[in-house]
Amino acid sequence: MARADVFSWALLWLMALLVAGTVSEKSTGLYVAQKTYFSSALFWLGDIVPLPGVMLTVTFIFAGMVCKLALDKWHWRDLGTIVMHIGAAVLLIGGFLTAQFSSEGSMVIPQGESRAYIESNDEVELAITDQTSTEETRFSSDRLKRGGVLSDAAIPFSVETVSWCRNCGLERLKQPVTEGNPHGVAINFVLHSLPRDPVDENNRSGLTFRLKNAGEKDGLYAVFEDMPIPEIVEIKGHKYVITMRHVRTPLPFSIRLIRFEQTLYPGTNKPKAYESEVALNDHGAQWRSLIRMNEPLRYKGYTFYQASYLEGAPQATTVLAVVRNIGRLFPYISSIVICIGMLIHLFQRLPVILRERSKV
Amino acid sequence: MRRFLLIALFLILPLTGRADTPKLDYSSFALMPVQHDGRLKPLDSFARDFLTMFSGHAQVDGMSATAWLAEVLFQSESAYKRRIFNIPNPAVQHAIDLPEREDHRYSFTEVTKAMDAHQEMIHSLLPKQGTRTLDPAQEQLIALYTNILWYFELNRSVSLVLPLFSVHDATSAKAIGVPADKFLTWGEMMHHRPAYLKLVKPVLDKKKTTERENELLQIGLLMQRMEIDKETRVLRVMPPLWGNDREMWLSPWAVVQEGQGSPQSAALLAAWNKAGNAWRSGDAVAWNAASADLLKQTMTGAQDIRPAALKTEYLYNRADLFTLSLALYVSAFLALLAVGAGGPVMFYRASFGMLALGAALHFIGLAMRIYIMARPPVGTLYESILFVGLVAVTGGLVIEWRTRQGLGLALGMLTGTVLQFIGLRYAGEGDSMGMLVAVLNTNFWLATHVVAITIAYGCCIIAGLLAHFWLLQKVVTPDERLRLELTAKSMLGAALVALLFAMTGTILGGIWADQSWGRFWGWDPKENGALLIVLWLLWLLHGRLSGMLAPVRFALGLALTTVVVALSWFGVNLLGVGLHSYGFTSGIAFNLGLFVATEVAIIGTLGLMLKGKGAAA
Repeated sequence: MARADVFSWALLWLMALLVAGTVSEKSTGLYVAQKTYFSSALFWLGDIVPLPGVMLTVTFIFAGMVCKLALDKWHWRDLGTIVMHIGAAVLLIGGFLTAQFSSEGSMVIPQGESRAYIESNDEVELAITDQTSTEETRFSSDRLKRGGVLSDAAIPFSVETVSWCRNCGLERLKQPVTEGNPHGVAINFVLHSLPRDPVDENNRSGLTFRLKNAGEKDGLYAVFEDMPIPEIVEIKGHKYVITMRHVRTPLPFSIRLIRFEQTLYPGTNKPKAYESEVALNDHGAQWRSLIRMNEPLRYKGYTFYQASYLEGAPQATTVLAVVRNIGRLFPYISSIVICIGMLIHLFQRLPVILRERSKV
Repeated sequence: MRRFLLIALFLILPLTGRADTPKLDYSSFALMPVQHDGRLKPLDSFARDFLTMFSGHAQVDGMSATAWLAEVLFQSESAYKRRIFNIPNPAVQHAIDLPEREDHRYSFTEVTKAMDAHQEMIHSLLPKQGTRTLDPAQEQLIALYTNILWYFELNRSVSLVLPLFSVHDATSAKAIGVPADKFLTWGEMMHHRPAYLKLVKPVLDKKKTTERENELLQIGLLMQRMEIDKETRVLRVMPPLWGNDREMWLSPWAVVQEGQGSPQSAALLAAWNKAGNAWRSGDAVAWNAASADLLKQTMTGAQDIRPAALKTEYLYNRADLFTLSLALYVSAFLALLAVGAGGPVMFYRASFGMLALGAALHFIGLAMRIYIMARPPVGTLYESILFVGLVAVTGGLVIEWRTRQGLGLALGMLTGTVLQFIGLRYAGEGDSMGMLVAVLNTNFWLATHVVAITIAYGCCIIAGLLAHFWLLQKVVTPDERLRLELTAKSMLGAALVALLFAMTGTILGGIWADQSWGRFWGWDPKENGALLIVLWLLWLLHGRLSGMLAPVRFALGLALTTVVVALSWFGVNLLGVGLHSYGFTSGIAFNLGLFVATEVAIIGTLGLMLKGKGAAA
């Protein structure tokens, strides 16, 4: 494994993957390309041939590097080189930790409102909220995809999926549906699956389902993301709100948007800066912060970045990107180690270079 | 479209004044601060931006851009006839019935009349603008239409201070309360508006009018037409005096319209009036004094202004250092050819000197840009071309200084010439020194990450070209061991420096991303491009050091680095995804493909020739 030719081929393969992945980003979008080529151990070429992805290839290179460092006989004069390679290994370890354990999402907060959860950028879920007790029951998109009947102790009814689409088109029917006791959107509309858009925000997931064990409320329903009028089912005095939405992960504190501001260069429409003034509330402990482009808020392992804003929203609404990354410090450590390695190497080589110079 | 109709109406308006252009001194007028594209620039740059947009050149009929703008502002009659609109596409000419012309140049009057006759067609295209459904010629027509609107807005910008009104008839003049046959500005005329309205009212419904009544109607028509002038905002030359937005400069009409009038702004408008009158009369002495006074008054009224930066930018425009440096690079190349053809050693020195001088001018040009924009040199794709060019030429000079083989010179000239040439070709698209979007608006990271990466590009190009030379030497003069070894050493050195900067730049980019977006790496195309360069160089150097790659194969690989750099530098912009998809892309795809194909063919041929000679291991 420590052999030079093995490393050489692995590196060539890595470059090939990099090119293939980058080019495919144009057609499939950053997220899918990343999942297929970069963060995968294996991917399938034409659904038949399994090929190693970036994750596996880099792991392989890393193992080779460790073997080389551990097994070879080293001399003092190689110290600089060894240190540099240790630095590179640290970088790869950091990358692995980040790929495995980091999580990211976003927060959309209208001015004056408060949020205590992060929304996933790509994963969606079906949420059923009891308005009376505010208890939430959630079903992941994997369960929706598989189909069948979904039920939970917290809800008095069950949901049978008819069809699920990650990116739905909404089509108005010429004649209203009469069969299967349709409700709400399902009376006049039908959801159909569209190809996934490379830009995540342009995808709208949706579910067509049959409600069971709900007595007279049994029947056909349809929900999709950001429905203007939410689907509410009332059973035995409890109101259940059924929504399709991006997966929500609770935060151990809440963030309120005090003010969002976009500054333009004078006399143009070109943005010069964005900033969000937020108030953080951590179980009563309060903290005020200004989040700007290139100046995030860091708090208890979470980092909040000014990512975007909602255009044309009734209120100024900020979009913050939230990241939790335990491998964050590794690139910094690695850079320092590599620099030290280079300096050692330079000092060790200096006498040799000077001697050659004086000979010339 | 309604607005366009109004513009067309202007063409039939009787205009007063002379038709010839006086020879006047524009040095004060050129330095007038104007707020445009989000920053303050000298009027000279402002005029160049527009003139280049209309005509493709920064000069017209031997006039400087500033002189041209003065004519547009002060003297519509001659300005409208000047052929400044460049319409090279015959399809566009035919679409609006313009006569075919060898120089493809048309005047405002010609284009406006032609467009006026084809309003319906233009109207049908407007809503589809920017939707990518239009044919290039259709897009060009829309662009021409937009240019006409811009031109007109410029033209009407200072109409409020120009003496456009006069009353010839003594009775009318007396009734209105103005002296007969004296030219008055819009503002002066407005003082007498009630009296004028009273006078004209009975005339309005008449079917037949006398000459005197006709004059009254003409005055009304002009007043009505000047209503549209009130909307002009492009010429922001009035410093903000009060109000909430102290950063925002105003156009002369905006001062009147938005109630920003004050003693200072009134004085400034009076100074504009003086300058306009002086220009129209062709009185050089009066103009020189009036324009100097106008500049002085504007500067006194302004806050947060950097007069030295304005002067520097004016000098930068006039000196045209990058064209000069290109000329020097080409001359240095010719001198070196003379040496190669057996010329005296003096030519070698001349070549060295010219390359060094070219690099010095190139450097001064970049330094001026840094000072003018108060930010690091590279923020756009255009600027990266300028910067990489300088890095490559400097690298060539360093190699030449150490080896004295003519190799470094050849290298510097080749890269300097090619990159400077590409840069100048795209200057029209990228060189108005625009402001950077919010995320790039950070001097620290522009100065570190971007500079490191662009230095890496430059070093990669040098290493790649040295590899070309080495391969060529190996084919042509394989017995000159010493020279080959010298080239090989430079080549390896350049590759190591390139790797150092590529790696540093990529890691710094990761750290910027971590600071700004919370992720060190996001598989963005440009990030991948930079990583590709790093991996490629790592692969080559590890192969070379471990002995896996024989010298010839190493050199072949290193020669291909130019292709890797081109793809990572320009290629990823074609994908149009991700954070780094800035810059121009039109026409890049073809040129890039051509470059890659040529390089692969050259390197392939060299490889095959060496294989034929049995030199490849």
